[in-house]
Amino acid sequence: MKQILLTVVSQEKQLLKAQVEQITAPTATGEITILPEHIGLFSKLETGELRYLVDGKVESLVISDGFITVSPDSTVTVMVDTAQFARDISLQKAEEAVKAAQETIKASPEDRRELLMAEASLKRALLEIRIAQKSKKTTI
Amino acid sequence: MSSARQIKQRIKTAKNISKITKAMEMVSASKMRRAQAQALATRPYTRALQESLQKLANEVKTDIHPFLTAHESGIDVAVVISTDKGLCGGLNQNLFKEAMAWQKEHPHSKLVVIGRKAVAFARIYGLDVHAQFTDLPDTVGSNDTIAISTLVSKAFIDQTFRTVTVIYMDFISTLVQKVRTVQLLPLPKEVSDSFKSENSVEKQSTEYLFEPSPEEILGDLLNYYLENTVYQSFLEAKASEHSARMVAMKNASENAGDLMKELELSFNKSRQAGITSELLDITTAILAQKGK
Repeated sequence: MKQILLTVVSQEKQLLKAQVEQITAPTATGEITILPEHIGLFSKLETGELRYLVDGKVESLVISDGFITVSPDSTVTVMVDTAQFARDISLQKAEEAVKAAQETIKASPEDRRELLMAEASLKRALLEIRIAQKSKKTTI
Repeated sequence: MSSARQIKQRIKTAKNISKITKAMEMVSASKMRRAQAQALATRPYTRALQESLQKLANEVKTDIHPFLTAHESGIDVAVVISTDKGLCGGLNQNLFKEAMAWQKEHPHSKLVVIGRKAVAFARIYGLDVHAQFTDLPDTVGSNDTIAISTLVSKAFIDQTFRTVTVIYMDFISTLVQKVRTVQLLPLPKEVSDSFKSENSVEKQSTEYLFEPSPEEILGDLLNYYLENTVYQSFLEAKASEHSARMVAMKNASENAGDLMKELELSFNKSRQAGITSELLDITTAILAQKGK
């Protein structure tokens, strides 16, 4: 009996690679079932359950949004997106990063020389405090 | 004998420091191994993505996706991936040297800085910073880098950015890390060319179904491609950071060992000198008494 080579990958690692007999996947346009020698197909996947048949037994895998690519030579690649949640809040995070940069610029004085001097004197002061604390400890 | 005591104190200090550096070395070694394994684990995804893009390129005639076409308005932007913590040898210095060179070549440019070290660098040199990201976890997941790719892709489509480049340390081996400058947007030629050359080549006979539309799938795939490229460069940068730190700490431990040896020698010498002079005193005293 002909089989399909199913590969499931996420951005971070390969989740599954197996010879299966049949695959049922939740696509954007509805659930589809793929049998060997299916014609070529590109489709978007939705969050749901990916079921596949191995030795007559149904196994399943929960997947997030992603892609399914079916090649005519009976290989199926499923790319799942593990970072779905992060994408939803990514715009907000990006804006935060821009804001953080602007705050850094605002916080630093116009004159760079002044900034460097201030930073150097702060470092020296901190060092002095630490040395003072340490020598106190040793004398007691 | 205050000098002997001072030397003893210094030996103790060196010993303590070497203990710390040894511990840091081991921590970095394990983190480096993890980062390397992580970089390897992403290969199947990258391959699947490239294969899908290739197949799509054979089928679809659209090469007018905004990611693939260059435009003239906007500024040049470089994403500089540095570290949050120091003590990793010349890693960040090499990176910043390259960033400065890039800045010189592109006068109207801004930086997106990642890591505390890059933030400090941009501040000290007064560079124009568009955004900053700090405190990324040691094991970066793909969801940690998405904000960065969203930021650049959105600004690129808005035509606020003309080009986007990534500057990071590429992991070559434990001992060698090289600065790498990669153009992120518009997507490199290999990707866009595969779409353009398609017109001349005879279309393959394999038929593909697209659900929903080829254009939508292309847009999504290219977005994943961009995210994946950013993620990959992060993994490389992390592996470089940890290996550079490991080597730096190894050198530090070795130096501390050398220092301890040297100090012990001079401590023993001064102790011996003390004994000798005491002996001399005693013998002269005895001789003087006998002489009486």
